[in-house]
Amino acid sequence: MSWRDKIIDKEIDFLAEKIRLRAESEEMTPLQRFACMVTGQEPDRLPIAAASMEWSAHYIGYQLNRDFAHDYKKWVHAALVGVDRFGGDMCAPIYDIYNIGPEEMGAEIIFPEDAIPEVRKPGVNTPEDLKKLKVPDPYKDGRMSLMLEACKLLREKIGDVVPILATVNAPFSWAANLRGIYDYLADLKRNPKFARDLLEIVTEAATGYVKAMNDHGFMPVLLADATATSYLLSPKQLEDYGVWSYRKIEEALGPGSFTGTIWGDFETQAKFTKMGVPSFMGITNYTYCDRTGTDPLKEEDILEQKRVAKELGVPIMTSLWGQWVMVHTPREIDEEIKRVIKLAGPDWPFMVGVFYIPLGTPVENIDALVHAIKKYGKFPIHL
Amino acid sequence: MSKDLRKKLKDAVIDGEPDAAKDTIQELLNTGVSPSDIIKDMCKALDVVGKKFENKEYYIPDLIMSGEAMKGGMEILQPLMKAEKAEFVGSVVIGVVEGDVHDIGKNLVAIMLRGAGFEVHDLGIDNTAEKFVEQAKEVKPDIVAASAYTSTSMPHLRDVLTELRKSGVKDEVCYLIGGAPTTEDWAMSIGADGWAGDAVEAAKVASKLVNKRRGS
Repeated sequence: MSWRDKIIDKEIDFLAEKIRLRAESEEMTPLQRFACMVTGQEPDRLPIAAASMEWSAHYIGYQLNRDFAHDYKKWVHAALVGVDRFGGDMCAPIYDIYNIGPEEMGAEIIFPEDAIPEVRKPGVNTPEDLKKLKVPDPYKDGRMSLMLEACKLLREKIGDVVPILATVNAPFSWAANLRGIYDYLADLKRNPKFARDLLEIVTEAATGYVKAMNDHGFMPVLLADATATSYLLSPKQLEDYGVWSYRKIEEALGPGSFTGTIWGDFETQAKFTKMGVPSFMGITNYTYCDRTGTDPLKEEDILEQKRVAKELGVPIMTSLWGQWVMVHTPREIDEEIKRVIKLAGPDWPFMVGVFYIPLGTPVENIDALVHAIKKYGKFPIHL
Repeated sequence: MSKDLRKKLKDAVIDGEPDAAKDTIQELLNTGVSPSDIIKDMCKALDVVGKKFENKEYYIPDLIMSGEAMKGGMEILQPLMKAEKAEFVGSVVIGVVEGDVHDIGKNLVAIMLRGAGFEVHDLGIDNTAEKFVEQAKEVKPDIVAASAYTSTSMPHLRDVLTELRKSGVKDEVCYLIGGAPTTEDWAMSIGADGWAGDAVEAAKVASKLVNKRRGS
């Protein structure tokens, strides 16, 4: 082990201890707060979501290059720095989720120095290429095994006080990144059989990956599905491809093995939740910005989400759009958090924050976000 | 005969069938229909596609395949257009900025611009500011359009504008930007002439910019 690796190990231990001490000194630990939200009980204050993996990596001087991308201890280090620096109530080692899996199945990935990796060449170009595809082994192959190790280590270090969000690339997004997003979306119309055949293979791979996470004690696992959204697909395509793949995983692994995300408008999410889509499992119900992706949620949308969440009996997980947080002032962020909490709460369990903090977001903006949630989200809430 | 074929072409574009579109274009050319009339028909068809997209009848896969049908048709027609000296509504140099390889949004904008009657010069992905300027000097477009998907590549949208100004090209073109991390406020703050949140809006903004520039 190099001296640098030893320092990272020491740093991980130090940060974990610091996080534990703080968690234990508060009225509730982040895990207890999160559990309150899931079970519909009143926490001491609203739980804070602040997923800052890449941002934190930059903050401590890691370049997001190939070296970082293949070193799970650096992921753990960055994830812990995020929790420690901002005091969020969950730890989400979400880093380049969408290329993990496609890379192991043959996509060529580039690793820029200061941005998240990208697909340079798809791993599947023709239906004939499907014959050559091999389902990767999540315990051994590439960054899938590294992500397993990262989640495991985080769980060992802080898992009893902070919820660890183990995340896996959902089958549709995985297939899209393996094939190339533009071409995969075109295939849905141009050659649906090819699209479906690829999805079947990838769903088998994702099932194995979720199962490995389950075997490590993560129940449920979060499926990230940025491409299977109502921005891009018709409701029928969402159902025939996205929801189809969720059901296949549930058939293989049983209920409670995962929870999923469809990053689209609330109307579609509510529809799927009502259908009993296993992806929601009663704990996730993401709010996002409006269809343009640039404006804050409209008041009527927040109220409608709350109405439907109550009807369905699920909590709300509300995220401001990361890019919005990046370009607004601390005062504007404070006001927006106050507005969202006033509208969405306090009579219904919800979590608020930002699920992706873009590189370049001023530190004072993230501080303002966290500070505002602590200020306005303390129970009993009177706004 | 040509009326049926023209309907067949429109249907091929609306239904997103590139091969059928190409075959029909050949048949139309053989019957003597001019390339500019064929393009007008395809633009009308793409306008229908745009409306269906706005009404949530169509989604991105539909838009992509209709765009592919249009693109395939343009490959046949564009050389003939030059010979015919037919005119486009305007011309656009479009590309993704340096350090960014996300081209879905840019491709969709290119589709809708073609559908609105623009001649599109597509630079593809990962273009330096100098590349935009170089291409603009060469083809003298009405609009330079640039997109960025990531927050790290977003500052390059400003770099493109700086280079356009430095080279004097900005006096001759409008600058249109877009992409996930951008907002209209930010676009205006850096001095862009236009911003769009999606492909359909981009084509509308581009048409407005050209009309404004020409004083109509």
